[in-house]
Amino acid sequence: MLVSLADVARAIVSGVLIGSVYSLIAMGLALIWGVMDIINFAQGDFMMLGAFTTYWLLELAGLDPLLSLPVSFALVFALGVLTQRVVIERILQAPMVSQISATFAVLMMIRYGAEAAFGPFTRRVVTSYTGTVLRFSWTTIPLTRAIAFSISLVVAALLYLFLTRTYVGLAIRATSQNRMAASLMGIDIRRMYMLAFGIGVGVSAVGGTLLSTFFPIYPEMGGFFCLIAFIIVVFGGFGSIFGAYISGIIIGVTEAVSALFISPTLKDVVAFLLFIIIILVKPRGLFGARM
Amino acid sequence: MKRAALSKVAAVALIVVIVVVAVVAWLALRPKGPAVKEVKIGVVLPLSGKLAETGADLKRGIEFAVEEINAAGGIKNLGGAEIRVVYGDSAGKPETGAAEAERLITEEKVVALLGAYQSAVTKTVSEVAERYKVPMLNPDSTSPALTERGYKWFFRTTPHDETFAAQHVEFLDYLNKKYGNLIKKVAIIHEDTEWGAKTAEAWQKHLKAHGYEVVKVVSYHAATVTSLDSEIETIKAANPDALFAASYVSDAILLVQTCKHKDFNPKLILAQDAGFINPSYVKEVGKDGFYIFSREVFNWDLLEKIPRLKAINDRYKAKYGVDLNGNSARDYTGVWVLYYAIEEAAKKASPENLEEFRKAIRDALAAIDLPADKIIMPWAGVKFDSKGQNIKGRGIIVQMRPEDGKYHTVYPPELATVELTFPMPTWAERGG
Amino acid sequence: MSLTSLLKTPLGFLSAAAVALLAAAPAVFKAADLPFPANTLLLCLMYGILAMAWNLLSGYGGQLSFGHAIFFGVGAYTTMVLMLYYDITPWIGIVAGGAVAALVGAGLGVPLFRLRSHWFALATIAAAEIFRLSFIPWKWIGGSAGLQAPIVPREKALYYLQYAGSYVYCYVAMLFLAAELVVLHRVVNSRVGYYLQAIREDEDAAMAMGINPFKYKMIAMVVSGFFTGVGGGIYAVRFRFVDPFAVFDLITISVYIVVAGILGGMYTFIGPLVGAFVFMPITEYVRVYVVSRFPRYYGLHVFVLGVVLLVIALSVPEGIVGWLEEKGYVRKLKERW
Repeated sequence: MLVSLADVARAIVSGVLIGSVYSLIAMGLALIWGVMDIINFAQGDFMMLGAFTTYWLLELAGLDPLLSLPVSFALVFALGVLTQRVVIERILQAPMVSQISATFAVLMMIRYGAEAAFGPFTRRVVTSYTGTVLRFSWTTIPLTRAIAFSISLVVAALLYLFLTRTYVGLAIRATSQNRMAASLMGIDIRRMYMLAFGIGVGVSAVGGTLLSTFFPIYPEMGGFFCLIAFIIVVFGGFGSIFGAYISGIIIGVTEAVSALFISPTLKDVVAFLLFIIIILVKPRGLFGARM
Repeated sequence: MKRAALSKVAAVALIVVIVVVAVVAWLALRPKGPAVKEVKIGVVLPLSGKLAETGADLKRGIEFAVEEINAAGGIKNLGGAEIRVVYGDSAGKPETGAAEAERLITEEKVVALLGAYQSAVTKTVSEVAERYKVPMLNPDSTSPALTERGYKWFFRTTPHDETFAAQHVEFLDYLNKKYGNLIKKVAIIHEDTEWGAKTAEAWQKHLKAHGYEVVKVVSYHAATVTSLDSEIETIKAANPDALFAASYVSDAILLVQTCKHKDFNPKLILAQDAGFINPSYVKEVGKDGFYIFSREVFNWDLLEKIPRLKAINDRYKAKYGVDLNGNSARDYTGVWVLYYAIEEAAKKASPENLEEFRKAIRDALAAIDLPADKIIMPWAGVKFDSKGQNIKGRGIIVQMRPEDGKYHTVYPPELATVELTFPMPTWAERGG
Repeated sequence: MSLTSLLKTPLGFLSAAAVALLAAAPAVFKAADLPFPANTLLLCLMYGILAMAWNLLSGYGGQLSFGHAIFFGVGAYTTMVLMLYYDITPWIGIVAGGAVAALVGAGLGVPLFRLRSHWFALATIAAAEIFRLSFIPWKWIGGSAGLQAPIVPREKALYYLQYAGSYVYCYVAMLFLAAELVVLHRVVNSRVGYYLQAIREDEDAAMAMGINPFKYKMIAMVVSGFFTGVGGGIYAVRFRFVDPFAVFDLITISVYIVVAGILGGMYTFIGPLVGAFVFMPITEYVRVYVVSRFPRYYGLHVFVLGVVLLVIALSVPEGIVGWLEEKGYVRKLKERW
């Protein structure tokens, strides 16, 4: 089959657009992983809660997804803090396996609790601008995806500024670099962990909100997004927020381009293979420096 | 061996013997149930897991049929015994379905099995039924392979994918004849489980046999699909006149959205049921779903034409808030077919002798010949061939209409309720 | 050691009684027509085999695998393909499935053992996904439709290992479980076992002492892969059906194995087996009970499982057997045997 330059360009654009949403989910995961050294298996399900918050606010209160975005962040942030207090705090010193089983239990509770509460049904968030499409001579971009891309950039920038320019942000980073030293410096480690976990899942929830504007939502949707987020985080370099953002986009593009050149069925195989190769060749990830 | 140890070995043996004897005795002396007041049917469905949504829909159809049968006086040849359904949750997994079927057969002592929707689960469930010699009625799985296994206890009321694929291509012929030869090139997009893959194979076979050119076949993995952009791009590049689609729910919505924003305008989008007729899809896809055709096995507007059937749908809708659809109506019909067979069987055997009664139901199913007016499906009736396949079944083709956002029957012509729109208007022509 | 000395301790006596009861159970279930408890027992035994195999690599060796579905699936497919395409009895097929899975394990070990801790764990998930996604379009072995064995006449039941219900398979599983216990016990209490634990505690230190981590991880992977493949073979003959979605499932195969292992205690010898015997009945009965009582709340049973898992993870993070050992209720098996 002949692939033209325009085809490749289109695939790249589409990959960047979906990738920017992967990035948000992955950034949350990276923050938690970096600061607390916890792999949060429930990350995708916090994202799903963000998507459903948006859906219900639109259904019940007629709130536009863009307006429900902060609500979605706040609600999931609160739930994250609660999870941190009740669950994560108790397993911080436990072996990796106990941590994994605990976050896996949280995953089961959120995902299937949502399924019990909302039913397994597929839903869509539909607004007045859902069908609006930006037309260019060589491709088309749905407005919702363009918005999602822009907001993901803004959120990434805000998170970066928060972590590098504010006292609390610096304290969180200090905690991630050296728990003991940070504690001696008078940083309340427990509070930092609560914040990091809350913000981490909150950012993913924002990803869920943005995703819901152009992707059908259902309670079990978190699974695959979480898997992708893992790949992205490792790919981008453990704990690196910036790396997570860029590699989210790289993974999105890889998927789209390999669907074009190889076969759509095998596009995930390519993404997973690439992942294994990258961690073998560059085990610290592409952007291996810590935050 | 020392004496003390020997006595411990003896003690272990004694404990085992006592426990075994106690359990067996308890089981043997369990109070037996009173004379036949109810007849139990075992139903295996995906009540949890990814397909729980469809399972819920199917379950409503079954519940509703059982209520109607019992309200109408139950099984008359058994003195009005009621039908009771015992559910087994397959969780969408073949091994769980098989284990549940065994439980329903031996523990719940059901007289027959019904289910199990996903063809993979139906395969293992029917294998268990065959082994235990329990009749199984399958109203809702469409893999052609199911009735090619030489089973004697397996009966399928729904037409299968091969039949549907043939009918799709006949529909193309019909359109070409009626509207001028507009369709020559066809592209196929399908999800990659057995259902999607086999449908695509059958499509290709029948399309080629009827002289159509298959310009592109694209598959994707429904469970992990996050974007169909590249898929639609490659299809659009092949410039087909018609797109055939086999999708589940969320990917069907995604597919339609992607066609729209990629401004991909085939003259015809023809879907293979499943996701495209799911209530969530119909509810959520909105006006973007207008003009899309889908194969169906049943449609609400068929009911509108016949007062008896309209009454059934009205009661159903009053109870569950949704119209009967291809899934719920097929399982509803399945229960009724099983009911007719049980009535017949009750003339020859009693449920007290379970083995004999199951055999009698099997024989009744094998011999059944229901006329069209005994069922609510748009079929010529129900009659099984030697493989257990209903030879009187057929599909219909529906189109989602802009007037009311519902699917209306458009093919075959004698069942059509509206004039179809073809070619589909382009996205630009529809505006917004 | 002899049977008599085992029976002298209370724990030994209890375990002997448990083993005897276990051996009698399938026959009792069969006599009483109770397929569901029998199937649950089979799942306990099967996941016991899987979790113990997993524990050699992930518990003793410290290489946390979330990809054991690879070995399970390969074993299941091998058994099925040998039976359907080459008419080879599953008695050989199950062992062959284990062998092929072991080979796959060796092949995967080469790249994956260059990775440590989290990275290894995540790479196993990715590898398992690659296997699942590659089997879906593979037409020769049935593609997405999978493979189903035809029903054979009764006189061939033993050759093709085809019986109704789970009863016979319980004994098949017990047979392989016994073999596994013997092999694993030997491995764990040999130099290999000690070196593995040394690698788990501190790989660099182990290397400094002249231990070749790659070699011992590889041995663990091959043995682990073998018995996981055997478990897959048992699944294939029991359900006489395999498809890529069922046998390569991330949750119900890979993760369930990990959960059983952690629940029972992954730094103990017998823990994963105990974990399987606790976890599988809970999943099965919770599913049946909750789905029949609360049919409208889809997924509620998995939610309940989540609560159970969380309570266990928070209250006994060292696992059931680990906790018993810590409290001194039982002595560590390897010290005593």
